[in-house]
Amino acid sequence: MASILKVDALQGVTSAGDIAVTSEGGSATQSLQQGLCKVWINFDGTGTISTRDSLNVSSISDEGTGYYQYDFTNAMSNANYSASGTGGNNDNNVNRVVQFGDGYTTTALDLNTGDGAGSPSDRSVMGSQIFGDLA
Amino acid sequence: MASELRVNTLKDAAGANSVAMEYVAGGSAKAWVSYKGTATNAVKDSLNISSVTDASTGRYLPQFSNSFNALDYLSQTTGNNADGPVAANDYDQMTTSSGDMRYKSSGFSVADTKYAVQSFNGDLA
Repeated sequence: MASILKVDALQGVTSAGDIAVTSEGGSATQSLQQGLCKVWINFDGTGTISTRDSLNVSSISDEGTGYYQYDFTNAMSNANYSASGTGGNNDNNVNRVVQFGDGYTTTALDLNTGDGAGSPSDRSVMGSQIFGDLA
Repeated sequence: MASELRVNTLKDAAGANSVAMEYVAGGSAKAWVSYKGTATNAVKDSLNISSVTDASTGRYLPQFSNSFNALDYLSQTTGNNADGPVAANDYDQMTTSSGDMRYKSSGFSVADTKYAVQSFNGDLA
């Protein structure tokens, strides 16, 4: 029988920030909160940059050709989080090199992207996501 | 006391923002790691990672605490531009119990990176 749970918030019983979920194979349990993506963004990094869609992102700024920074609405608890980034162009679907800049903080992340030769270059489809602990 | 809740769908109290448990479970990362790949190497934070081996220059091997059920999981890898601008997953070397992060410099020589991160989506065993 199908079941639907209507709630506005979920909390663990033993620890409010820790709800265990059973693995697909049934042999392991894992924290639900730790596996959730805490920040993600899809933005156009060309021309006047613009956010297409996002979660927990307050703003994005153009720091120069191939250099971007996006700010978090709710900060991470530390700068030890795991982030990733990817970039490409709509016209040729060629993925480009995306790296982190030195701005890797609890409130913002720098993304840099370049062409195949390593020169800074704007990309029309940029994406990034973050896993870790919110403050 | 421990409790277990079995549901198919979660909604907010107004009955909106519905999400099936399939997407909660399948859409969550099953492992991720933030690793300092330069001296002194260290795991900064992680989920479902028991250790990371510094295999060689520009190559790090995260070991999963709980294994994946197959080799068809998704991995994403990124690094810091100052010292290792080219980041890659080495799918040929990954197993159900370990990932594989590779980094190279802009000249495509192997190079360590201070921000080595990798995340994994898929089904655990």
